[in-house]
Amino acid sequence: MLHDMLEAIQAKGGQIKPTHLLYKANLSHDALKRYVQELTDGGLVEFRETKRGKVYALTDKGYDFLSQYKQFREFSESFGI
Amino acid sequence: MSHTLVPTYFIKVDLATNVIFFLVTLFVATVAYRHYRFAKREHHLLFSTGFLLISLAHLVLLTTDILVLTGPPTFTVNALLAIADMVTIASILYAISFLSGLVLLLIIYLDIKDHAVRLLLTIMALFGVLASNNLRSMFYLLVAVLLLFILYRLVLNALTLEKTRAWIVVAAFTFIFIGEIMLSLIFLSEGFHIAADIATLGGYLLLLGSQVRT
Repeated sequence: MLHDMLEAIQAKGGQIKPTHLLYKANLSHDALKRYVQELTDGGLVEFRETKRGKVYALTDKGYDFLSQYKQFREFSESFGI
Repeated sequence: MSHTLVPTYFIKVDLATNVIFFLVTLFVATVAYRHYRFAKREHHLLFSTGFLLISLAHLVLLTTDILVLTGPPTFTVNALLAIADMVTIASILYAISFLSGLVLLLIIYLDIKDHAVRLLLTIMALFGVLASNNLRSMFYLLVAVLLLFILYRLVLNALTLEKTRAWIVVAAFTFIFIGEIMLSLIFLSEGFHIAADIATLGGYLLLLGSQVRT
């Protein structure tokens, strides 16, 4: 789920409005808050105030995590492990 | 194990291919370990250890090739016997490393979780070969069986995923399997050793190619 949320943010250019993330992740408000808290605690996502309003944005660590995860998934899939 | 019947004119090529086999398997082991550190999944740790053992086996072979190439410092009977002893010990070390590596891969593919069963499988594989009267034949027979099981799982994985990368891995293991079958036939003709090295080289290069990022 956490990975799906990170990918949803990346697909939106690296930042996403909370309502959009709620819709994309198909979660309840409370569950979303809990997951976002985990992501911000891990330094993968940060909360920003922009001209467009409040958004969740991927940090450099978040981008790095997604890149590593992609490599991990490709390796695991190719060897079936 | 195979080096004892390497044609003399082919030993430098055999050395070069063993360097490649060693480096490729070490590379796969390193990548798998990096992924283990990222995801902390036991399968990746076992996979890394399995490939590390296979790379050690190739290191033993290439070291033996160097020993045979350089020859003894003096051509006395004792010096030649010492080389022969080292080649025998190297054969056993090679068999232990290679088989243990393959058994670890099989443990992953058969998803064996029980540590006692894992240990039993490893012991049976090693003793089956080392206690055999015909170490060479038993080794190749067992390697072929282990590789067949691994190949079967890899084919199932590729059929499920329908991804090119997975099929490249299947092709790689198929070439390695063919190489091992050919090595078991070198008593018929030394030409099988050359064919085996070519097939195995193809397999390891495909394995490397499967990890090229797009």
